[in-house]
Amino acid sequence: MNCQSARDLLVSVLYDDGASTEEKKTFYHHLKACEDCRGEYFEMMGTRVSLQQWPDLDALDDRRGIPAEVASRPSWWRVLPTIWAARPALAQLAWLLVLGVLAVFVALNTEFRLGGDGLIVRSGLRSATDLDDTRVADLVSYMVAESERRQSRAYAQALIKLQENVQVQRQYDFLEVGKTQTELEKRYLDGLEENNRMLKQIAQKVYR
Amino acid sequence: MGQTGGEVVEQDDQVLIVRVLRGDTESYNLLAQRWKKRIFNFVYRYTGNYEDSEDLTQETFTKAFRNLARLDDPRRFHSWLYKIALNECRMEHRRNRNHRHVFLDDQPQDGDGEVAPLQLRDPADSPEAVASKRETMEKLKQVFDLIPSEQRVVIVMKEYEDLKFHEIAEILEIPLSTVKSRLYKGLQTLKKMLES
Repeated sequence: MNCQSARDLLVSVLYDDGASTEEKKTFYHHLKACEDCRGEYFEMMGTRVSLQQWPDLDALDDRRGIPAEVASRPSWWRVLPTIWAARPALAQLAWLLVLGVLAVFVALNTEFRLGGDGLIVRSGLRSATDLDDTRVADLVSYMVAESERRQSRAYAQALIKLQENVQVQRQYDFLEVGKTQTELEKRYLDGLEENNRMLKQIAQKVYR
Repeated sequence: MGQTGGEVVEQDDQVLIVRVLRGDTESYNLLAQRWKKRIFNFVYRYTGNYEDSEDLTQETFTKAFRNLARLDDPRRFHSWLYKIALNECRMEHRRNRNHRHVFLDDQPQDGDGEVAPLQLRDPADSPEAVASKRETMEKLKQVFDLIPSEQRVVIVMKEYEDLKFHEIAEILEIPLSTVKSRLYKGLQTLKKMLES
């Protein structure tokens, strides 16, 4: 194997993707003999190690990153116009059905009466089933408890996040202080050295 | 011989896709949950912008949901998803052609504008190690923004998403040999930039 063939194979071997056992064997055999290719292979490995220093992150806001709101939309609503366009007969049938249901609904909820006051027409929805007071009170207390639980949880999460931030910041502050101290010490020693040098020069001039 | 993790995931994806196509939208949520982190990180490393990445990830899943019925082979769902994500990134890039990312201002923030903790810390890490990790990561982000996008995307797909060369070739619609040569050149460029 020559160097060009080895470089053609390099990434396949580096990522163990696509190189046969025989090719790998020939490649490693070439690396043993060729210093240039060996150097390049290990440098590439080093670059891969550096790349791994970039960790995966989490998307912060699950509500935004996830298509929950997409999936919560009724899918039939989006496909309905397509179906209508493809099958107009079906669309007509659906319209007739809707109109029929409406007509039945109106008929059931309309009252015609011919009396002394003339013709009376009344319409309206029937009232929904009434909830008794105990049931309403139970529901309200449940909702209040649930709301309090969510708030406590959100507060605890925010507190944990804050503590983490403070911890990280503190570590960086320590580092910065350490760096500054080292820098100051270095400057002080440099200054001292410079002063000594100048004193020596002056002394030499004086005694000369 | 047991199934590999990838095969299991692939089979589960297929089951979920079939359910979604039958009208079970909740299954799409599960599918999206499964792939959200991968797609988000792919987009983030490709664009280098955290806020944009969240929007682009959401847009990717929205488009995937709308076009799921057009997916010919459910086994290729993840390649198809990466392709949509890449198209979204490219469209975003065209929209903001003159936009340059400023990484120092690009810390992830939560809704209240607070800087969120980066996932860099291992409890065993010393402050020096944490600082070193952060420094390397910042440098990586900067050099990623400087290398050509066609090399960057191959590096991200191979190094971080662990896609096979043939999958990358399929997503980018380029020959296998081009994928490998772009990766090789990209790694060389990165190496030089990281050294400088």
